[in-house]
Amino acid sequence: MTDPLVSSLLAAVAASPDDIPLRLHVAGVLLDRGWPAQAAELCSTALQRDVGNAEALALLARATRALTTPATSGSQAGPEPEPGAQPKPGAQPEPGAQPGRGAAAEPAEPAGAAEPATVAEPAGPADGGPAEFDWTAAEEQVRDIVPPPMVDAGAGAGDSASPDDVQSATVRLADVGGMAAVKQRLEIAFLGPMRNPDLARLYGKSLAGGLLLYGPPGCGKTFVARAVAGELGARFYAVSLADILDHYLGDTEKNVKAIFDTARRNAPCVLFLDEVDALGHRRSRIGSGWSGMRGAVNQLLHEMDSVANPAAGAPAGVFVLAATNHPWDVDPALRRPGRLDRTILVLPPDQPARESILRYHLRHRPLAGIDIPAIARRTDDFSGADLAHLCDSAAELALESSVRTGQVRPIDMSDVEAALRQLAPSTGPWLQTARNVAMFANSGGEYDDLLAYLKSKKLV
Amino acid sequence: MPAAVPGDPGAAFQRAELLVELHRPGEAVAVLRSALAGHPGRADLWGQLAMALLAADRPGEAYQAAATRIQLAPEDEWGYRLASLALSAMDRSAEAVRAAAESVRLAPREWRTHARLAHALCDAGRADEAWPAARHAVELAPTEPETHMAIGAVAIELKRWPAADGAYRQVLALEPSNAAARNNLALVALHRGGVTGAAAGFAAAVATDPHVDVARRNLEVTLRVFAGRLLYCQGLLAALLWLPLSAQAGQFIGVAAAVPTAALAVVARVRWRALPVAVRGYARSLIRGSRRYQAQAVLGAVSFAALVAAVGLAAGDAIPPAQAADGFALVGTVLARVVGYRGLYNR
Repeated sequence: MTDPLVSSLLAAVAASPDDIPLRLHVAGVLLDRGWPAQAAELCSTALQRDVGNAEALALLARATRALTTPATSGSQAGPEPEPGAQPKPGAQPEPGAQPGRGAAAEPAEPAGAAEPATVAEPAGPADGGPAEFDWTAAEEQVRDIVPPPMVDAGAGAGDSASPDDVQSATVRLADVGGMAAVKQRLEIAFLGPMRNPDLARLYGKSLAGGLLLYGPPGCGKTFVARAVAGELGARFYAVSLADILDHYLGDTEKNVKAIFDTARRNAPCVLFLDEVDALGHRRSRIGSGWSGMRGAVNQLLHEMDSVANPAAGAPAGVFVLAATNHPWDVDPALRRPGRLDRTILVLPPDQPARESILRYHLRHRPLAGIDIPAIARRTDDFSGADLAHLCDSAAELALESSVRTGQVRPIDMSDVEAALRQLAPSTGPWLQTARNVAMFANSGGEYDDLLAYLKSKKLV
Repeated sequence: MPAAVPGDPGAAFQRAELLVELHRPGEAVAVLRSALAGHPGRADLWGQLAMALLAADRPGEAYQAAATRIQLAPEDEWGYRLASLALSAMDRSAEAVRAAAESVRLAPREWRTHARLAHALCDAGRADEAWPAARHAVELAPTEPETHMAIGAVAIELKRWPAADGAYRQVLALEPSNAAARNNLALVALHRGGVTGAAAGFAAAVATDPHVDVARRNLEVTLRVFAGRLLYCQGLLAALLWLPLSAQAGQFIGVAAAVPTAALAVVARVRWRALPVAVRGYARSLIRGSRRYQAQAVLGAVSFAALVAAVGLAAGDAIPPAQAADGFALVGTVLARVVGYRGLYNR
């Protein structure tokens, strides 16, 4: 962006991010100078801070119309103005024009777009309704209209790292929304002793041993583990079942040793064993199939012991964290003192956490009248992944509506309500099994926290 | 570090095997389908796919995969055994028996074929014929838990409870973590009248493998049987007392009626306390979570209170009110039994 006035205005917006009138003024200037995408982004941010702001909505509609016109009206509207180019009068379609129709039949449709005939037909009830809606074509049509249509949950956090990819952890516990109980337990059980080793020794608290995070899928165990690494100032090395299956199939004992050797070389390092129920499966339940897994568990036990009690001259500073949806499938030997002897239950996000997650997933989307606390209240038992799915579904509904009507509109509560009617929390099956465990396999009290949670939900 | 060769069918087979063991049959199916796209002629992959699909509770597709394996390896018994399993799951029992018999013909020294035939014959209602097949499997592989599981299944069908009990105990001696054997052993105990032992057995099965939800459902049924028996005794007592309470009153009849009533209360309490703590907790949670069970519990308790009141009134020379109270106890008990009744147990 070379316009000095615009640069100054954007600098002013950056300096005063909460100044909505300034932000909208700059959006208007950008629109006038032919930068509708940037203007739309400013409007979206303004709407997040002031939901339902009429001026922002009007500017957003202008911006999206300006973006839609050249991409969908073909030669009639002229080409998309390049950044810095002056917008051409008359480039915008008439109100009520159907931007998707004519363009779809154009031979210059970009490769990969859907069949023109499919796109050209409005998705009305007579044509089969939304069930026949062509998402690929629709997303292609409005790809540039709205800011990033999808935001991955915990991008860079929930993904399983390549086994040789030891990363520096930049996430801290402060970045984890809500989950106050988990953070408190982490401080008491793990981080506090690690940060104050002398004090821990004074009270006879062993620093050896790892930490097992368990809970329903999609609730942020990996993210929490990454945050623990960040708190310890350690590197983060994640190994998941997929890594074991894709990269280490074969001599599993050697492979497990290699994983721990890599962690030692990168000390201080948090070695995160994702889906540890797979790698450390109960040996009593390992069938006659892949007998190599039994050796893997034995090797894992050996390595855990060597991490807890490093030999003279061996590097210390490897912290083993593990996560599982099914701790009851983890070999009991792995959970003995000095190994994964501390457990933390990571539950579906609480109300503040749900609000944070929803804000995160909606932060770059055009919104109008979205009542985040109300949505959070109605999404009890939803996992973080469920909430991400909810946001995506609401965005899809708004997108579909925009394409069908030719009028781009922001996501509103009606989209969220419709998405909520279609979705149910994915934690149900896990809770069913957890209920069996808490009621019948908790003689040692190791699942008391789970039992308390289930009681609070009136599930037992 | 040895890396899996992309597209290696042997690696795909191993991965799928592991994924099935880890209760992830859907992922195993995906791995195998991907491998089969490049190696459609690999009979072992088709067999493993049938296994994964069976684990994923998709018997129709499993049968198709097994049929493909049979086409590719017609002289191998595994395809027929898999087809038999899938057919049994689809309630096509006659075809399942034929497929199992073919697997026995191809591999008469393989215990798995005989065990499968025994199960298929059982499912087809031909338990008498299944018994020799199951015995043959045990003779071929006496240390293999699955052969004793076959004996147990056939014995249950034939109502040979001691044999079934012995078979499942043998399984547990060989494989203590076998939750299915624990479940079936509890089922045998329930058939033999041991409600308390059955409840403890089902609870142990759930504790052994919480993924096996059938044991928890069986426990619920067992608790219904437990409640039903108590209500049956209460109703019988109310019925037996009705005539004496209608005809006489006074201290003697009051004491005579109080003895069995108190005995019933004591027995109920002793039986309840004999249930494992976890089972009692589960029973309470069932009542909290079901209006039907709540109604049953309230009706049962009120009826028992009416029975006690009837005895007390009779002891105080109040014949008509005692008779009315006893009648109320009888009707309430029957109602409680009806409200709480729901189906038979699952296997």
